Amino acid sequence: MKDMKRRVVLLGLLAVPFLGLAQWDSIPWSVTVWGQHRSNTLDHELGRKLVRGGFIDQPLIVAAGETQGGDMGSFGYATGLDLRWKLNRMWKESGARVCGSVQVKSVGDIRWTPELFDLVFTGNAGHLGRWDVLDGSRFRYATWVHAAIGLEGKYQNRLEAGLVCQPAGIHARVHNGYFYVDSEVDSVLGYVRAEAAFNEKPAWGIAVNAEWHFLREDAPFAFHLRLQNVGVTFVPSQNQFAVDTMIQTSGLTFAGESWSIEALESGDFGQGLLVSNPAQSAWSLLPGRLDASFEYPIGPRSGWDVAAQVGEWMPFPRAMTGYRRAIGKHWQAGIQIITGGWGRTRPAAWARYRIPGEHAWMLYIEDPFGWGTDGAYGRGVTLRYQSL
Amino acid sequence: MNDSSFSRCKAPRLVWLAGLAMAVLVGCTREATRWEVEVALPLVDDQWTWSDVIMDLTSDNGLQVETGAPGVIRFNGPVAEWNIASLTQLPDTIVEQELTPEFTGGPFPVPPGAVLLDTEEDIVFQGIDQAFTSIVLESGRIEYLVESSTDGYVDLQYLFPSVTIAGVPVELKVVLPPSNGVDFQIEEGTLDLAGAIIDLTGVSGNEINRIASQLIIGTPANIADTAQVYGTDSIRVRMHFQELFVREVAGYFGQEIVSFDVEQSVFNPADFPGGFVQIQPTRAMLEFHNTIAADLRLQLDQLAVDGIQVNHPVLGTPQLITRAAWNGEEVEPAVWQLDLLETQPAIFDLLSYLPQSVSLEGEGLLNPLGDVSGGHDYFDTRQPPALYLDFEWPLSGAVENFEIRRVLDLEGTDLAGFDGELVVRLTNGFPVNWDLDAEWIYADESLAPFDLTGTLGSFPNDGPLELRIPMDEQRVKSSAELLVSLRMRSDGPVEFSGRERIRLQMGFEGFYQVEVP
Repeated sequence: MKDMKRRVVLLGLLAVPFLGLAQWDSIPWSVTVWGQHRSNTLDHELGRKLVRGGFIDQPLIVAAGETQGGDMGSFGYATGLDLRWKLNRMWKESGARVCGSVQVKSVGDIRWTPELFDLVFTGNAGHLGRWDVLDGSRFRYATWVHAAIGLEGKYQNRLEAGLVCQPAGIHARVHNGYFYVDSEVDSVLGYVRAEAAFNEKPAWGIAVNAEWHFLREDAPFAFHLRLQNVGVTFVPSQNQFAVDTMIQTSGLTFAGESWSIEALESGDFGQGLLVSNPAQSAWSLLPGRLDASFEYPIGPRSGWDVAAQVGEWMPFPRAMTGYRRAIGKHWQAGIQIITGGWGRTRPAAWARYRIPGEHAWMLYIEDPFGWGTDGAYGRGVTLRYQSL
Repeated sequence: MNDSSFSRCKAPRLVWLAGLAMAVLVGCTREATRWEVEVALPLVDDQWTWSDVIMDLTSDNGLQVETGAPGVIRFNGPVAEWNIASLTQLPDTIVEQELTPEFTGGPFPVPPGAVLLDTEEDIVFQGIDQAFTSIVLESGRIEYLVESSTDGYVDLQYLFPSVTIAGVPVELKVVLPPSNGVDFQIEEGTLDLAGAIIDLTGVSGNEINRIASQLIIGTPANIADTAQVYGTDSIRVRMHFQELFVREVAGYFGQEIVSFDVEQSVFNPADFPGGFVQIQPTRAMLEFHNTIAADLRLQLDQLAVDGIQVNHPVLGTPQLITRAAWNGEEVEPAVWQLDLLETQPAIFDLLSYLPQSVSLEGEGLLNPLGDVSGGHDYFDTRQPPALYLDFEWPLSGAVENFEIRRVLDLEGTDLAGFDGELVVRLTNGFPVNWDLDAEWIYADESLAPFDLTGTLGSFPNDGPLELRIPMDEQRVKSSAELLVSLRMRSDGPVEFSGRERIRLQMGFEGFYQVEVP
């Protein structure tokens, strides 16, 4: 409770410049909220049952396994809120304006091998005599608040630095893992080298945001680079676990001190397999993200967009390309094809309503067909309000 | 509406929209997620060797199975110990002393530091027929009670200079406060004598069975109080030596006759219900090891197998066994041997029918020639006289319906939704056939027992016997007893290598419903 108060006070202090300046009439600001989840394996129906519960029928699992094939399975989500502002007035004689942002973000990432998917969802009986490889399977999750302040210069180029508070963070990873049961079901081998940790107390750190835009009136195109949440955090108290053990057995004996049915029943079985280190301090990197985008006008009211994003724990860079067109005086809309990130290729569509000199609304829908069907592998929505 | 007022009224809607978006993405309700997996895993891999087959014959570690052609079972170790109660426990003894003034009337003042009684005397242990000169106690205690009716402080010291623990003499020191003239002042307690070394030669150093003691009663010098003593006052002390168990004892042990009756369990019918195993040992020597430093005359009168008497030339004949030689803590026992291969009828012909017990009756006389050591008999109870068996049995012969029974207790496991089979695989490494009868009895009486039968063919001709037991959630959850009965039979004589074993493998295969709450 004391920590919570301290966090609120500190973030409040960081927001003071914005709140104070917000009394002025002419501060351009924007707020964006978004949420998206995606998988290359789990469709909506399977994902919904995993999250909201219910009995998962075998055909769903078989279909997911076939979809995954020999690839690494992945599921991820990202959601958050981004409040950005800048002053119209120049800071001293620098030609730059004071700007700032407050971001609340949550990112989760799960990966699994096809064999791990088989083991968890179908059991091992269907593939006796096969080596199940678990290498690289992992789970991680982080939620943080980043309050930053900086300067915005010519062409909206921007650099901010600020404080990060990460109230929650978990990660678990199988560096190496194997599981094998022979076809006669008379021996089993398991090996796991893995680690896991979760934050017992909030982590604190620093991070920067930066933007660079190529915007020239004499150039027919625009190019943007945007760096977000690049920084480190320090966890004062983290519970860490590690295992590095190989087990090979043809079965347990009935009696014995450790590797026996007797030990299993008395609770002495498996002692010492897991190494636990409670309340450790640790440094960790924030899941920062780099966006690069390119806009090229095709005609007076239409254009071609290309963008790529890396980071934020996405297993692959997220790339998109699309077509945009202005419709009437106030509307603009576009369609895109997206690939990478946590999932496979999917479409996206967006629309923007703008009243010049006042404000603009933008709605972005990722995988629009995913909103009405169980067969899609994710969905996403972004809503932005921008005062002009 | 300007920009700022617009932002003020729209901002809450944005938050609401964000919350709505999250609700659409994630949902609000949650029930358990369930799915079904098919698992196949080994569970048990155990084996029964010759050592397991005959482990109930003796609990001693002297049993060995040597592999070879044929294999040999060897045993060399104690099978029975000879306990002589008169040498291992001293009788409880009570010593009481009372000090009363030799006058009437009073009071007479007694200044601090005055000694009223100072006496040395022996505490005599009654009821001992032997002449002990020293003992080391394994355990024991003195419970004391000191009472005083004197109107003044009383200082009592009971010293035992011949009783030491870790080199320190045992002594009792008590200071009693003044009595109120009506009730006795009382103090009581216990002195632990575990490990005590006791010289039993008394104050003079020439006695037996006596502990030298010194009793001093007076007034404490360090308390400035003058005691007022009346002629009716008394000071009493009571020492109760209790449960004195001996570790070592020396002296003259007398000519005591001690019975020597041994009944050794051989084949427990619960584990070996019946059958025939041809036992033809090449060596079977029964040895009596005399570890007492005292001569012994041993006379064995009867040897019987399940009540059937067998004869041997030495039965009924007194055997003089000389005293053991002790050198420090090392003992060289005097050994007397009896060759079991010379019995009539042959004792191992009887043992082949898996008898329940073998009994041996007789008696021993200590010091049959009198006190030839001059009172230097010695006995360490940690190394008592014992019967040893030196036995060598080549594993060859005929086997007929030799039955072994074992009971395995199995705990239940909560496996919701399990539906499958327990796969039991038995591999026979013996060159004989085994008939298996097993019954799986559930603690949950609503579940019918499951019977398993089969024949394990002889090695190396036949493969493993595989049995499948249907299992479901209820059966897995119930604890159970697995009663296993194995009967071995051979067609005529057969030779075993000692490497034979029966391998028991258990695994389960089936469907299990995973539930994530």
